[in-house]
Amino acid sequence: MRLPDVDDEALQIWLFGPGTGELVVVRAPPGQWLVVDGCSADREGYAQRLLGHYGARPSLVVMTHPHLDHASGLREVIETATRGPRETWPRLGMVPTPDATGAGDLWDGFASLTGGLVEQVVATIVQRWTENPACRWELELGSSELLGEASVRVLSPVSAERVAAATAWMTGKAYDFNRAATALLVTWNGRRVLLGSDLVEVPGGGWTSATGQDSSLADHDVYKIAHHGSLGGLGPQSTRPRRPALRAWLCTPFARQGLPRAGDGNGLDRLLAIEDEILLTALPRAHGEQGGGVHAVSRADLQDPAKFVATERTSGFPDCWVSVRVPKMGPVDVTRGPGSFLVRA
Amino acid sequence: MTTALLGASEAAKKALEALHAGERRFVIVGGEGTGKSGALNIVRDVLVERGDPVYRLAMPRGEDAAFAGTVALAAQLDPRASDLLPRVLDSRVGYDDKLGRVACALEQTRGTLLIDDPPARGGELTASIFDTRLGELRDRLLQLREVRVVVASRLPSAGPSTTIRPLFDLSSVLAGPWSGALAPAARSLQDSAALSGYSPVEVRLIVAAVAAGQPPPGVSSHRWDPSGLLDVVLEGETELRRIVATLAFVRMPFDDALLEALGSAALPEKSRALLHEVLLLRTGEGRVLHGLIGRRARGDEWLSPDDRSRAHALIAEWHRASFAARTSAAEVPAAIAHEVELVHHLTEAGDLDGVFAARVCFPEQYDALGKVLSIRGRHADAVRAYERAIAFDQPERIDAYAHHYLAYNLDVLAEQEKRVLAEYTVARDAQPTHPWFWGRRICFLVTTGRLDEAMDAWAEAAARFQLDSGEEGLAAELHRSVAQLLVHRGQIAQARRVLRDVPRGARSSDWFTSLDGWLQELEAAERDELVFPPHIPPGERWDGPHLLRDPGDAERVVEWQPGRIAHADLEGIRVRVGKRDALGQVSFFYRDLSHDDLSRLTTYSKHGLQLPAGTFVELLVAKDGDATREQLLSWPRQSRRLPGLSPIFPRPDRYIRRALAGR
Repeated sequence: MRLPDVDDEALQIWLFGPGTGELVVVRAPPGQWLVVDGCSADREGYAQRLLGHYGARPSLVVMTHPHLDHASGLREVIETATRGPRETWPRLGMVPTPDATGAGDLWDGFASLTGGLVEQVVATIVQRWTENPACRWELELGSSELLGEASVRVLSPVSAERVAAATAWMTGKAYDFNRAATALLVTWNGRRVLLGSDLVEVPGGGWTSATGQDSSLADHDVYKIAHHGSLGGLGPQSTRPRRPALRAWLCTPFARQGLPRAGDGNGLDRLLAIEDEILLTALPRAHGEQGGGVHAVSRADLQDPAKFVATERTSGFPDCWVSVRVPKMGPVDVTRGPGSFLVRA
Repeated sequence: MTTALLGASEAAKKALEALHAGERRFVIVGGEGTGKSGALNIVRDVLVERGDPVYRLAMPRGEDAAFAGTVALAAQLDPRASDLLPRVLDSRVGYDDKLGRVACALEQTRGTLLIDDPPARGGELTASIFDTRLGELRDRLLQLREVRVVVASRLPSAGPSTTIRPLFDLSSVLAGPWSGALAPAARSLQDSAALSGYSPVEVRLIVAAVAAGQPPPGVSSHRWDPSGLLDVVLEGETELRRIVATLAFVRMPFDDALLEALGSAALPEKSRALLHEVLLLRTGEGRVLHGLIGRRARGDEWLSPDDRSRAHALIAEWHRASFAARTSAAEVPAAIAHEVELVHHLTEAGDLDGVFAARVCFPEQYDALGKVLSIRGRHADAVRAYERAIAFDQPERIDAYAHHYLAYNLDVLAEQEKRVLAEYTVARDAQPTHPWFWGRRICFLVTTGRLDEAMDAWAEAAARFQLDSGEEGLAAELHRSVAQLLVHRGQIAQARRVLRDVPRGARSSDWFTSLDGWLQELEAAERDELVFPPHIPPGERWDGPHLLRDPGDAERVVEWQPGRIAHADLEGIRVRVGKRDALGQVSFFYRDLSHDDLSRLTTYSKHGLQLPAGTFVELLVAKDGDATREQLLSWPRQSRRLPGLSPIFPRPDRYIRRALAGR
């Protein structure tokens, strides 16, 4: 399945999740691009590939929180986008509590890799902030940026979590940085796209706090499900809307944590009790174990891992993606890429 | 106390004969304490008596050795070349110019130059500006055509030379004068054949040791070594030791005023006797501490860093007073010598304001000050010192060292990013042969999130430093630091690129092996194939299980799954498991274990087991009688050092912290 063409009459969202990592790209008419987080597979940054495919330059780049599965591939995007004159640079958004725990860990190679990569992305952002303060966006609660005809508003984190995250970073104490993840609401012509990042309700009540910015978070057209469909990500945003509506719920997997979980009472079960379908970009496996097809399955199917042993590996980018086209009015169009799953109860 | 240097006399005679026969170069070779300086003194005295012009250069210790030596020569030459000394003392004149004029003035004398312990040729690529200047001085002097040069050196020479015999007239050494208990000790050693083979300073230490109650040589078969003798002589002598440790930093003969300033008058009589009769030598210019004792005091760091600073400050004040006195007496060469030493000791004391207020004749002396301050962690002060040095730059004469280390000290502080890059670039462009001037700039670019630019710079550096075998040291200077930082930042492809550029000869080094191994672990983590901990060598990994207490239990194991915990939460753990089939094919999969599972599989209670992500585990199914039992063994985090690698300094996240701390 090829990537959809751009459409100047619609808001478009691309979600990539190849097993570990999550990339959200939004295009708003007449042609501004937002990159939220990043993912890589086979040492290829998907964000830069996607932008290259469309010949696009981002206007906004956001790292929602300092975890590898959201930072991978961002370095290349930022370095490329900031090569030209400063007035062409995108706004670079990051909550300035850049935890890079694990960098230099000589025992755990995974921690070393993830911490180091995050530290490099953070260093890249900080350097651009220093050189060009106009591109600095600290993702203050309630702040918003224009994205063409659309608007992007910051729903989290609240002040207390920003402070707690900053303190933890400076002192090296343990802290769940998902509590300080940045959730965004993109609005365009009355259409609403909720990007949940990894913000959690448990612990910390992140989504309840986010309703302080918008009391109708459940009223959306597209929802990038928070924290890979975990139970902790469930909150007021993932409830039934006030008025019946057709919503597209999108989810990326996180292989190392086995998310989303398909068992009874787990994340997928709870989500499918609210929404009829979940669009999963891939299974919670390593990218090398993802298959190349496009599947429609039941939750019960996903409880048996042996059922989806890939006989044919995915061929790499563009894979493990779901794209949604949101017109000014009417239902949204969904396109799914190889490796993706439509999950029903 | 005088000593008949029999061996030195022989050597001096041979040197004079060679000069008389027309040799332009002659080397007197000898180890420490063999009398080389004494031989040069004899040569000097003979030549002076003949009316021949003769000049003496004793290379001092320290980074300013080249400058001190150049001034010393200029001061000796000055009566013949009246504009020479002012130019040498003018900080606006470059070193090349000064050295050239000194050499020219020497040539015009057609005299003889005596050099004590000239610097050896060191590695050139990473030579500091101090080493470079020293090398320039050495080369220039040894290339003098109209001047005969006699060198006293520890290193053998291919040219005309003689090896000095450490032969001394011991009876004159033992003659004293001695006081107190030293006198009978010395008398008891007269005619002792067991003293044969000891140098004069060792003989004096033996006298003191015997006076302290030690059995004389010959009573036991034990041969005293100088270090052992010194320890015996100074045992319990805390104040004397402090005084000696301070004197170890003095680079020229000193007078009683310095000894009084150090508090020698307050020493007990016995200690004063040791000081004056054993440890110090009296020369024509004053007293000196024997080089062997000084080296020991400095090398073993008898003084703490703070006490060393205070010692240098005290010595500086003595030089200041001596300079004033010599100036008043119009003793120009001596006054200048004290002035040079004043700056040296103020530098070693870390006295920034003192050096700034003094007359500094060479901009490189500000570099030396910057180095001292930087090593002591006074980076902001180091920046000021290097700024002073840079103020003397000329278009044709850039102090690349100062520019680089100005950048480096700002870099450590994570301040003024733009200036750091600009200064690193100036240094690199001014001296592109120095690998550090490339490496640190590249590391700065990586650190501050300019990876693409850093790799472009790396490509340039790799092309410039096309390394052959035999240049392993260069790889350690350039490749190691860059590769280590890239690995730290998880930049696998870039780190591999740098390691590929390491010359073959360096690939057996500890640091390369460590970095290569660490990078392999990151690569495995990137593929989600990281299962085994680094302590298990790659070749042994599939020879498990590894965690059984009794290796004999391995026979009972029917299934073995090694894994690393990828995630742990309230629900349980998720393990990345590796499996190798009979054909040797390896595959990986995830396995989830609840806390109930863990209680069943381990000996820990449900709530007591804490297995964090990164823990190495082995899931075993073993025969237990007729049945099988599954169990989980775990190996928690271990500390680890990588051979050949030091922690990265300065810390890689310093710019991030500086920019974002306090938000």
